[in-house]
Order: sequence, then structure tokens, then C-alpha cells
Amino acid sequence: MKFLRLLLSDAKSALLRYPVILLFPVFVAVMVYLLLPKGLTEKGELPKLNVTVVNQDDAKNTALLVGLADNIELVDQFTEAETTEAAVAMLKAGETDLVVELPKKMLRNIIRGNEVTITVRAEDPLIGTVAEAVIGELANTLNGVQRTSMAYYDLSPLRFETKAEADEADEAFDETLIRAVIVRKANITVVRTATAYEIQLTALLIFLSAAMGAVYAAMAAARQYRDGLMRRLKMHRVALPLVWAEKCLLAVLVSLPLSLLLGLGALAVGFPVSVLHAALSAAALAVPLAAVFLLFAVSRKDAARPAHTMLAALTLCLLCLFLGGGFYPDFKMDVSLRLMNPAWLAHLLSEWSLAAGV
Amino acid sequence: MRHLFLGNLKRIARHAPLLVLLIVAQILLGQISANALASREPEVRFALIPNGAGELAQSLVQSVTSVKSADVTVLAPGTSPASALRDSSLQAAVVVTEDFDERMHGGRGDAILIYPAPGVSDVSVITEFFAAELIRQKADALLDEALAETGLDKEEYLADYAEGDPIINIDYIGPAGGSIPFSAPPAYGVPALLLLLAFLHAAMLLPGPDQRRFRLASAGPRARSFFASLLTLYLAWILVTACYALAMRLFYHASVQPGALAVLFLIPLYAMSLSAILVALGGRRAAPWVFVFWLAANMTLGGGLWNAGVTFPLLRPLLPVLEAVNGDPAGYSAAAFLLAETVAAILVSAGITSTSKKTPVMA
Repeated sequence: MKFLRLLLSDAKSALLRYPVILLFPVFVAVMVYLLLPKGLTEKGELPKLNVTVVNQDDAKNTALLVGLADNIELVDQFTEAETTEAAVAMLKAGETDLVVELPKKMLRNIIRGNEVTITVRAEDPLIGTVAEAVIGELANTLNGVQRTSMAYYDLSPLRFETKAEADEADEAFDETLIRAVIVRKANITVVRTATAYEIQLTALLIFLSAAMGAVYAAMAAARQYRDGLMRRLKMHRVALPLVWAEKCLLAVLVSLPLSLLLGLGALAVGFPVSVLHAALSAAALAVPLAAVFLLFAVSRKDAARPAHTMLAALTLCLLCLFLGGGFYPDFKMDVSLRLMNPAWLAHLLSEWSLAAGV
Repeated sequence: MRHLFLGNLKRIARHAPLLVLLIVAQILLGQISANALASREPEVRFALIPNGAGELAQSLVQSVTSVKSADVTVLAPGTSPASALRDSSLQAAVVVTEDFDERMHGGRGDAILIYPAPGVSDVSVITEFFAAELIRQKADALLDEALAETGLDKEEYLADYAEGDPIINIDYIGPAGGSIPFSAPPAYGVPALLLLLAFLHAAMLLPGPDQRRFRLASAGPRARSFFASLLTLYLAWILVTACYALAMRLFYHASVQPGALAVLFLIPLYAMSLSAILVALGGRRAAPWVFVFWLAANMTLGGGLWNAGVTFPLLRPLLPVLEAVNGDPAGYSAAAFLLAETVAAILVSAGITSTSKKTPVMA
């Protein structure tokens, strides 16, 4: 009975006293959504871009770009500009998202081992970073064929009597590799039900809902310690494990409506997420997180205890998200640091929620 | 005034462990984020299930397993991807299909199937790794034909050709017009985010109309005592930023760019000035809540997490982290902008503090 009374009192103050904390995940979700420029592709992988290329009167460069535009799904519209100045003017006027300047005879130079510089210009830093990463991948691929190509060209004078014949063979070699670059991912299929973007954002949604539930429960405990309620409960022979269990249940109760709200929002923007599964996932994660955050609530004994609890809990959340692949590519994070990490578990649960949604 | 100053120093000293922790977090997180963002080296760890027995399939397997930068575990043909992915250290299981050769010759697609490990969202590096291998295989086939015509031995001939250095450079020119060195550590977003904590520190320690301490100490003009405290606090944060820059140089041999460093020095002062406005208005209790939303905005729109923010001119004064992220290419102009914002915030708080009426003591 005491357990239920305490739970009801905490849940009531969750809504009346600090409703603002419940808005935090919603705020972050809106910010992340706003951050994504120009909407998403049909597959939800990358933003769609209008790309302008500075035309260096080089048919092979143009062929490569058109081919890539068809294959990498990054490009919405592809235009050409005659000079760098014209392209930059389009960029400043907002008529294009990205300007790519390729040096003359770029592919031939690459294949023949000559150094080249590709210039990428963007007004939006995120677009610039995404585009640079995609072009960087391509650069790695082309760097990989350099040795074979050089060996091939050096062989041509031995195979043919005239220079014209050797040049023709080299041209044919170039053409074959350019075609291979253009369709380089055509034979590779990634087998999964959800896209990288969907997994990442659903994981963030689940983790934030769980974390906010846990932060609230820990702050409620910190406040009650500060105000002497915990001491009074002890005097009334209420067992501490019971109080802690109540706080974990409170974390679940706060995280459930949050995750339902965010799940509905995700559905509204086209995520195939199962709201029920996402809510259950957030509730399951809220319990261990609350147990850890409650340790912060008891570790300090002064008036600033709730503020310190919130700070420590938020710092830990940031660290978990960071090491659990919440912000940066997950494969770059150390495996041992993510095994027991709730942010990483949110990734696993997000796949489960998305699979159930499909 | 002297009592106020000494009292502040004592209070700051009590928070010394927190400040040391902050410096360590700044260095570690800043460096991890820089590495995560900057490294272009493929970091691939996957299980390979070679179901194809054809010539092309075998050649692909041989070539993939000989790449030094990849950590490949070759499993028996027929192993299911799900059982391969029980090893949690793997990023994916890659299946070379039974009819790999036929699919490659016929251009039918689905010759290589990549099964990402549970929870791993991004397998683009592995996809590109195999794309590069397929292109290399194509180039190798053409070279084999040419070698067959000349009758030369392939291994002997290729011995003279070492793997060359990367020959493609990418020059990314950002909104500020300068070239952004993608691979240059450190990344400033995360360290700048941590400096925002100065906002909370100031909200906890700045004297305000709600405190007895302020009433007793303010024998002179109210604004003077208030800003003496602000400056005392700022000294601690100058120390934090300087330690960060010094440690980056000593331990990581990475020099923080002058423009970015100037911004990093100004961020705590700006955060404290905003906090001072809040305290002067009597909103100290609201500081944690204001901070949480401010932090979230700087994490996302300010580019604190991805080191790339979004430029909404109207929001710029609220996003000091954006100046740190842009501080490197923009040089001192970002710092000058932040300095102007800081001066404005200090003037506003000075105005409020000097004109506020004395309020009853609450604490």
C-alpha cells in the first residue's frame, strides 16, 4: 500500500512539477529531424542533393558523374556549370547544394598513378561532410587499382608494335575500369529489413525515452533524500529495496508514454517502427539505467543533490551514447566498451522494433 | 569584497575534482571523436562464407583474405550467417554466393550478400571494400590476358610494382570559404560541449538577490561584487581550457588551431554571462532545465556531436559550439562574433544587476 502511495505521489509530481523533462526527448527528436537537410531519400539512407559539377569539357568525367549519380542515390538533380565562379554563385543563391570540381582527365590520371585533387564546396556543413565521405569512399576504391593499372600500361609497349595500338589498348582498359567503377555496387546486396538511418534514429528514440524516465526517477529520489522523506520512510519501516523498486517502476512509467509519443512521431514521418515494441524496449532499458542513476542520488549529501544527480546522469548518458555508437559510426567503437552499454542495447532493440514493424 | 573573493575560491576548490574530470573527459572524448571522424582507413572485421566454388569466387576469397587492413574470418561453406554473427566482435557476415561466377558474368546482381551484425547500422565500409575488390579483380583479369600474350610470369613481373600512396586528394571548402582539413585532429565539438557546463557552475556559485551571502558581501556597489565573482569563476575555466590545449599538445601532438582556441576560451565566459542574466533575474532554480535544452540544441543544431552544425542565422547566438566547430576554418572571425555576443550578454546582466531592487533574503 505504501509502495503504491509513493508511486502515485511520484508519478503525479512527474506530470505536475517537472513536465519539462518529459519534453526533452521530443525536443531532441525535433532537433535531429530539423538537422537533416532537404528530407530523406526513399530508402531513408542519405539526404537527396542537387549537385552541380564544374564542366571541364571532359566526357569521361561527366560519364563517371552521371553513372555515379544513378548508382549512389545521393543525387536528386545533376547540373553542369561552365566555370567555378558560376557554380559558386549557384551555391550562394541556394540553387544547388553541392559543387564538385573535377580536374581535367581525372580518371585517366588516377588510373595512371598521377596525383589529382577533387574540390567539394558546400554551404551546409552536414551536406559537405556527407558528400566528402561518399567521394572519399570512391577515392579509396580507385586508389586500390593503381598498382595493377601501372603494370598494365607498362606492358603495352611489349605487346604492340606501334604506339597507336598500345594507346588504343590502354584506352580500352580505362573504359572497362570506368564502367566497373560506375556499377561497382551492382553485384553487392546488403540483407537487412531496416536502413542504417532508421536503426540509428530508432535507437536514439528508445535510449532517450528510457534515460529520461531513469533521470526523473533518480531526481525524485535525490529530492526525497534532500527533504528527509527517505529518513521518514525508514522510520516507518519501509524497506530501502522497496523504495528503489518503486523508483525503477516510476522510470518505466515515465519512459512508456514518452516512447509511445516518439514512436507515433516516428511512424508519422514514415519509419516502419512498431510503437509497442519500441515502448517495451524503452521500458526494459529504463530499469537498469534507473538503478545506476539512483546511485548518484545517494552519493552526495547537500541541497544541490538533485542538480548534481541530473548532471551526473546526463553526463553518463552522453558517454554511453558516444561509446555505444549513438553519434559516430558504430563499427569504429571498441567492442568491449559497447557490450554492456545501454545505448548499444538500444541499437539491438531498435532492430527488433523495426523488424516487428515491417 | 575580499571575503567574497576568498569564499568563491574556496567554493571553486571544492569543485576541483569535477573540473579535473572535465579536462580528462574533454581530451578523451575529443580525441575519440576526432579519430572516429577523421580516420579514412577501412576498419573491417567480418566473417566470410565462401559458398561459391568457381574460379572467380576462389580468386575473390584469396584476394580478400590477403588484404592486411581487413580482419577476415573464413568459415566453412554452407555456414549460416546467423550462426557466424554470434561472434559479437564482427561487423557483418559476407556470403559469396554459390553461383557467384555465373552472376558476375551475367551481370545479374546479388553475387555477394552482406548480413550486418545485430545492432550494426553502417556497413558502407564493407560494401565499398568488396566493391573495390571486384574492380581490382576486373583489372587483374585484363592484366592476366595481357601477360598471357607476352608470356611473362605474373608474380615475377608484379614484384617490381609496390602498392603506391593514395593519389586522390579531396579539398572540402566549407561555408566560411576556407578549406576544411577533414583529417586534422582534434575535433572541437565535444570539448566545446563540455565547456558549456560553465553555465551550471556559474548558476550554482554566482551571488544573486536570493542569497544571504550576496547581501552580506555586497558592501560596495552590487554589480561590482557580482562581476568580481564572475571573473573569479572564469579564472577556473581559463585553467580548464588551457589544460585541455596543453594536454592535446603534450599527449597527442595536436595543436589546437588559434581561431578555435580563442573560441574555446570564450565559450565558458559566454556561458557564464548567460547564466549571470538568469541569476540576476532570480531564475537560478531554472538553470538546470534551461541548460538541458541549451545543451541539446548545441549537441544537434550546433554540431557538437557530428562536428558539423546547421547555420540558422537567428539561432546562432544560442549556439556557441557552432563557433568552435567553425572556429578552425573561420579563424578569428568566429571568436570575434562570440566576443561580441559575450560583451552584449555581460552588459545586459550588468544592467539588470545594477537596477534590480533589493529582494527579501530567501536562502
